[in-house]
Amino acid sequence: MKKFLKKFFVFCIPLLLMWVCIELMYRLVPNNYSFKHQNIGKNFDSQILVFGNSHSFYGINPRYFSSNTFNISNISQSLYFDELLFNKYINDFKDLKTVVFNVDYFTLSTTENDAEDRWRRYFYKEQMHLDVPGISALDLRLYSLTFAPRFNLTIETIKQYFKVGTLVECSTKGWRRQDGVNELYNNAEMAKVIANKHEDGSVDFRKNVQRLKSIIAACNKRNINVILVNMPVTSNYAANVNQHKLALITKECAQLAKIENVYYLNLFQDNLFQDTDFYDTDHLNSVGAKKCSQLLDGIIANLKK
Amino acid sequence: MLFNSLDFAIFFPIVFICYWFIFNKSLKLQNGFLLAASYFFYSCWDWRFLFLLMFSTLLDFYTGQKIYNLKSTDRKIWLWVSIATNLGFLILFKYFNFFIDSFSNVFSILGYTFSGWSLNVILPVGISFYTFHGLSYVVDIYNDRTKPVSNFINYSVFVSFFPLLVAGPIERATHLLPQIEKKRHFDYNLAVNGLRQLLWGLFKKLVIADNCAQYANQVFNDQYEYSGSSLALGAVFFAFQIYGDFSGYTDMASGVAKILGIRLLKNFSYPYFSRDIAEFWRRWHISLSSWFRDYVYIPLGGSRVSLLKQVRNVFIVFLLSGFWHGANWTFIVWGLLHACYFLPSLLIGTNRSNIDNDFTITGILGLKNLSRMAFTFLLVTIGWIFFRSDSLTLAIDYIAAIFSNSLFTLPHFLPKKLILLTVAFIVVEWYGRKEEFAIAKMGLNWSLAWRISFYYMILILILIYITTEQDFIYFQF
Repeated sequence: MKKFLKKFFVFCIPLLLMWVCIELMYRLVPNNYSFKHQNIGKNFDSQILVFGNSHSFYGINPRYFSSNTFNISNISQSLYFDELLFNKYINDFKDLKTVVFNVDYFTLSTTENDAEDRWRRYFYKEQMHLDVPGISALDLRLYSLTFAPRFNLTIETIKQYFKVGTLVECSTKGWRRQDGVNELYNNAEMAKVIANKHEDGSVDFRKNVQRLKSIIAACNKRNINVILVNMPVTSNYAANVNQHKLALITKECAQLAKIENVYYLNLFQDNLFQDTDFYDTDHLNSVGAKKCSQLLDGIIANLKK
Repeated sequence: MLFNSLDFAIFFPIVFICYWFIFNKSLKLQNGFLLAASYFFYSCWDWRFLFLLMFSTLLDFYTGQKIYNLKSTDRKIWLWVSIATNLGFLILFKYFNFFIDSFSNVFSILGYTFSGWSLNVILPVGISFYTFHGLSYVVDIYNDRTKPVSNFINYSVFVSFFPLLVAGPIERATHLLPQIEKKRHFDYNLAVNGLRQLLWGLFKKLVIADNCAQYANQVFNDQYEYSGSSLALGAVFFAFQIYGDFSGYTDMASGVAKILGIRLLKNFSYPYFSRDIAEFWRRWHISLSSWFRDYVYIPLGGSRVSLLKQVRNVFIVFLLSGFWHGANWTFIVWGLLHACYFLPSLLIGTNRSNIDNDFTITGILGLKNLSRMAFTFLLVTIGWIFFRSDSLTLAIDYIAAIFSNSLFTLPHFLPKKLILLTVAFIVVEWYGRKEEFAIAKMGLNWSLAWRISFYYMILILILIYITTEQDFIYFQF
């Protein structure tokens, strides 16, 4: 037995070392989660707060707003996490006048238990100090972030760190810059692949609509405007989504916009945006983000009047 | 709790330490602990079904005692009590809705309406496996092949031993019970062999099965969008998915059991190297096919009856085997298809001609063996299409679309890395085919550095190729 345990331990030493290094990287090297958490505190005077996933993370640049704005959105951030972040910070933003939520093709039907992105909950909990329900105290990932994402994602993260020198991809205002057009990802074939990836086959919006309603109710108490935005996508992407589901989403948003202080902006297939405004098939580049942000700022300015 | 989960990575070391360091003083304590660990493992899925497992265990333990102690006519009654109750639960949980739906369809074809009520229950994990464990025990006692166990804890461990509880192998009382009743000592070589098997099982599941699953699911979920060549490739990916998935699970189960000093039955023996269907069934899910052989085929007369009855027996066994897998016509047709594949070799008497494991693939003879293997793989893969499809119509459409003109076009996807990995996997399996599992002896004669590098290479491949967590296919049975 001694021999077995000794040899097994020796065999595991490189693995243990690797674990320590990865854990240190996740704990010590700032990333989007820890950086946003750090900067939220410095932006409590913001009047506009932007929630949502990568579409608003890349597509709404606070720099082009005439009022103080902070973008709290993040990659694959579902309404579930939007609501948790909203509830955590709403009282800290004393001057808040407007909140923006991007409602995409998959936003209303997404469930909080998407296996692919389940690892993110540990980063929200650990690095944004978000009280994420449903994580067992016995869950090892709660104590070691190494075990949260798949290993190949960790490899990508390490590669990125050595290539760029940082894991932070956003500005202090929370916006992520992407310049130019990536031909590899912005084409008809990729649009089909991505649209298929975003298709969950569900039109059950009840849970997420309820989330939006409770956010709206909380905003109404403080007289905060809520803007629901269908972020722009390329014509290729738009052509590949289920038009029936899209119509249901539009209808649901229009229905929500009947509530006081709620406004709905549908940019999904807006002519203002050309395919060259997109980095890939469904994400705006910095030029597109400027257009989108200025448009939103104009609308918000009009609300004030 | 899956073997390839973090939960198990915590659970098993705790079990290991308690099992070998705390409870090793007495066999009673060790088995009691093993039972508690097994029940905890099972209740991680759904604790409510633990009561069903306990009831089934208690019933078979009690009927086993009764059958042994009573005279001939009463023995038969208790045997049937056990069979009826065990199969009753299986039918209730697994097949009830299927029967109701099928009756309803037949009635509607005849122009009548039949609205039987259906049950809204989930299938208890592993019910097909532990029911067969219990049945084999009771039938073996009835046939005087074994004696009943006097210790209820030991019997419960036999039924519920966590490595095999949810997806087999389907153990026999004559094989596993003596190991449970005997004091176990830590065996270094067995434990190291177990670790190696666990590693290989993880590789099969996480690298081969889960990655093949991504393409197989993509094609089978959207089959009308793909060309014949893509569908053919999708079916091949499914063949490797199900093999990697199920044999990977078995390897992990056997590996874990060996670390605890227990040997499980061999369940797979490189089935895709089979040269005919009869050989395939001697190599695929061996514990199930031998169960049906011993408890259905032989009692029906086996091969010692007229040819017509032999044919009947073969069809019954394959039909039941298909039905065992699930309550769907696709599984029944899959079973019957294999019966049809098997029939020619039975009729011309070649069903036991390929029983050796050491055959060549070089020279003229090798070419013959290779072509036989390829043909058998083709037949098996066609069968898997029925197994994987949600309905017969979808399966038939899938096969029809494969054999269309688009078979000779380039597939929609050609994942080179995965194909390369799968080829490498086949090569390793070929070289290790005489052993219990492919890497059982691989590298044992190499220098320590090379050997460690080899194991690390497998580990790194596992870490790199881990994809979205996929359930084990055989958990649904």
